[in-house]
Amino acid sequence: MRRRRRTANVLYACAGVVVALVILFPFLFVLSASLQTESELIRRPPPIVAPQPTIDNYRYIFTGRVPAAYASKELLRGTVTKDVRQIPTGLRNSFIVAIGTVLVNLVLATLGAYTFARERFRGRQAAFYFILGSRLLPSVAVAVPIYIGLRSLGLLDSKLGLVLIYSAFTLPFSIWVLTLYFRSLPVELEEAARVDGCTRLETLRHVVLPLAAPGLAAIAAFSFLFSYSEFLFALFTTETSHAKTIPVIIASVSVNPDASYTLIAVGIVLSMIAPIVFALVFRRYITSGLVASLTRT
Amino acid sequence: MADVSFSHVMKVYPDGTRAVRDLTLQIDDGQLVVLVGPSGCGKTTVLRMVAGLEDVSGGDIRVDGQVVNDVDPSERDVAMVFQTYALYPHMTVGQNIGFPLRIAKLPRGEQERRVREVARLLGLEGELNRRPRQLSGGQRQRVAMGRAIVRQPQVFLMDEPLSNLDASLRFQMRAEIANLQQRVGVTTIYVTHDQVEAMTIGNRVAVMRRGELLQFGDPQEIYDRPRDLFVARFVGSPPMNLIEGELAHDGGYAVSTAGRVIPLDAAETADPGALDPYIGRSVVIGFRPERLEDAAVASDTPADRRIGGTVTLRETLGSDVLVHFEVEGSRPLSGRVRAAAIEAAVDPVELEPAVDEPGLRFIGRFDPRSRARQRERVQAAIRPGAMQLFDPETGAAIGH
Amino acid sequence: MATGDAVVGGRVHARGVRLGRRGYSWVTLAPVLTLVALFTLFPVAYAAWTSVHRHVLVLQGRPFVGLRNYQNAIEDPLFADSIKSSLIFVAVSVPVVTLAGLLVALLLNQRVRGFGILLVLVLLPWSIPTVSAGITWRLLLHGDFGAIDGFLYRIGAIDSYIQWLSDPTLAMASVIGVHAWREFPLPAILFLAGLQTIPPELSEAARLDRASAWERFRYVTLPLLKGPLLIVLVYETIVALSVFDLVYVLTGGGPGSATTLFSWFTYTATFKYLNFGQGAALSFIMATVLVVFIAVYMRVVRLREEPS
Repeated sequence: MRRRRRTANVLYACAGVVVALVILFPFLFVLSASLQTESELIRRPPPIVAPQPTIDNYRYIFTGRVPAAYASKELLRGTVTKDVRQIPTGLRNSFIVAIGTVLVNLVLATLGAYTFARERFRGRQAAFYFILGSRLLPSVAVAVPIYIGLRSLGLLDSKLGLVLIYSAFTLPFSIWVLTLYFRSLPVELEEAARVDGCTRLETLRHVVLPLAAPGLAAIAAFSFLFSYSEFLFALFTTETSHAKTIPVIIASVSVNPDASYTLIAVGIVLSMIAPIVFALVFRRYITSGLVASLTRT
Repeated sequence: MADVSFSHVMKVYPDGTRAVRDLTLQIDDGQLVVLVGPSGCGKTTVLRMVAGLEDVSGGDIRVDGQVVNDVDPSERDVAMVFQTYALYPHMTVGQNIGFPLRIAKLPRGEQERRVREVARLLGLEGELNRRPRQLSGGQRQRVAMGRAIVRQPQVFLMDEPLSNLDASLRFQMRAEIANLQQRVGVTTIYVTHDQVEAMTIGNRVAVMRRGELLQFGDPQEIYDRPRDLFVARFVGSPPMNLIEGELAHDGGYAVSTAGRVIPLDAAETADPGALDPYIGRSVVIGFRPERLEDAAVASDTPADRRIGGTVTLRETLGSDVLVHFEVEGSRPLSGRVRAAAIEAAVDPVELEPAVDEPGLRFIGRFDPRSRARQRERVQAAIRPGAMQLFDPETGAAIGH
Repeated sequence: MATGDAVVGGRVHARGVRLGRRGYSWVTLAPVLTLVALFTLFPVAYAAWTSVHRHVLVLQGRPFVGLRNYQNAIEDPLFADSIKSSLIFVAVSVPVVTLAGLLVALLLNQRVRGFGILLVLVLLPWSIPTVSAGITWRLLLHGDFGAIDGFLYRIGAIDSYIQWLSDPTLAMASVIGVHAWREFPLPAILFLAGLQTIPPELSEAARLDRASAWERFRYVTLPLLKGPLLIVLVYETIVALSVFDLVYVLTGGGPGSATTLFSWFTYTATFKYLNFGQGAALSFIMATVLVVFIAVYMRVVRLREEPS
């Protein structure tokens, strides 16, 4: 019996290692690629571990100093594109837009969710399901009208425009998660606060929010991840470095046939840093938020 | 300082449940009124309506003369102590107590002064910086009270504040609360399902059942002159004995039951006008255990005012002896009256019927000198004025 | 207790604007509802409107053309193609994603040491931008310098480099594969949560009843996972129907039209030819189809509501 348990465990461990590798391999590869020179990388088969790791690629992107390996060979020089120098801007824009969306979410979703959670009024169910249903509409289906709308508001190619769009897309989910979370708090605390003289907003501020931190963390993480990674709307509403976000930039770099793969790899690595950090830090809240939102009303 | 009055107050839930029916009640300024009754009787609903946490479906609630039905809870000048205390877990004791003052934007100095005073009053000075989860049940209860007191409201509302404490603590806190209320002098509405608590704490007691107010008066009055079989059985421990019998008049009033005829004495027949309609009909006869005595000990009582049977259990209390006995020939009660009798005798702690089938078995609280023993026969003497009669259909007391 | 103090409590100090319960509710919801309506109701309505007019950016005038846009769209050979591609994509990827998620969840549910780390890792593919994942895999699947080909060649599984993204069938398989890599964490997390709510006594009892591992799974675990399973299926279907980013960076719709999923088709029709009228028609069709799925999803979740 125990031996069967032991072999089972060993098998599980192996399976676990396989899964971990499948997950990690692309990350590791692209990281290693970003630390190589083009000539090292472009070969059959490409090296998995960087033979002579160098941060020249990163340095080029941030400072414009052409990597030594490219300066020599004429052929490869052409692959050092200017496009990639936009990456730092893209990172900045993405970050700003994402944080902006998080803030809008924290304020509006909190207000809305608290109302849904505790107030009874006619049309509540309808409003709730309306908001929930909207989040599942795919971007492409609403892309054109939104584009036209933004154009008429003069919000094309602006971070504000993106924040508006992303807020509209993330609020439903945030409200859903937060409403569930608020409902799970004992209502007596809020009753006590009301009797103690608090208006609803004061109750929210003094009693509910301090206790709802995990819910807030979950929606902050979700809205950040969504806004940072969003591609379609960023693609066709932004034009210049004012608002281009990182997914747009690395996508356009990647379809540029002249671009060096190692530089593309750097772009990818840089684009993944913020989301990975957020996901790791907030993982517990993400998990519980996901489970709660998708399996309950 | 305020009085609270209810005028035909009703509460009906959307699904049709009637939690409170036509409640009319006047609570005078400074009084401690206890709403007592079994769970589901509507007492907590009434309390919450005063707080504004439940809407009033019909009728008016007035505080200090003003109708408060539509006033937001945050604007009523009432304070509430919840059954679960509802202490803010993320605040210290001091912050909990001072919270209402903070919301009212009192000057800092004043806030601190009041919090300290209340803490001193309740013996919480050492706990001001601790969190609720670090406190014992009794301490938490006091913090909840402190938060209510510090506001100096017009009305205190207490929702079973002692039910989460163990028995000894409850006993102690009962006295403290009663004391506190006297000192502070704020009108208080206190809800409990424990009739002992109700009787000991309140200036006046309101007994409720299934949304209705059955009787309102001071504790002694409720005990001596219950207007309803339910009230009679609910108040007093062990619960009142009930037996079915027939009222007869043959030179004097008497009841015949369990094969014997027991004459009613003067105190029990004070209102012949009320009794006469029942002559020849069944009635329910009630007599409290403490008004029974072992005939062997109280040998000076009249021989015809006896009821006897076989002892099933003897419980020694020290000061008294509880003797349970079965009376042959007694019939169980029937219908609604039986339901009321059972419901009224629910043990507040165990929440189970504490006594057996009403009408069949009886309890006497005898002098410890009684030699009644299990499986032996006993004769219980019925003390003067002990018997009360009730209508077998409605449960209403006959002669009130 | 000091008497004669000023009365504290609601009556003394003024409260802000008195709104009443209904007023308050709608005021707090107004910003959200407006924003959402602006970005969902309005666009869908506008798409419906535009779709029945001729709206080409370079042409003047927006005459009403009835259902002509729809007709043109449907008659476009790519339309049928893209629907077919989308259906194939959904039919294959949803089961793959669900199964992968289930297997990983089952694995993670075994209490093996070190699986805590695995739990952390599992979130990673889902958290990074889809374009980043797509480009990375494009590098990995490169027909000449891809690491995947390199590895397979090295271990002798293939004798020449496979053109993952240039062969129509393989391209579709690649898109499905990358999509699965990115999406599986979601069902994995949901299933794991579901598995963890199953009391261990149940499978222990089954084991005592001499049930094999497979039987235990089939009769104890699976029935209890029906709820999350249904939800995952519907949700992933909606996701699969909306795939866009991956197509953009991985294959650009190609080779040819092998991976032109419906959303991609809508995008090119609208932006390559700037025929907003037709694009709107396609968008509207897409929105309608998805609304059906969304409604189904809502029903499913509501039916499965756990008693609190």
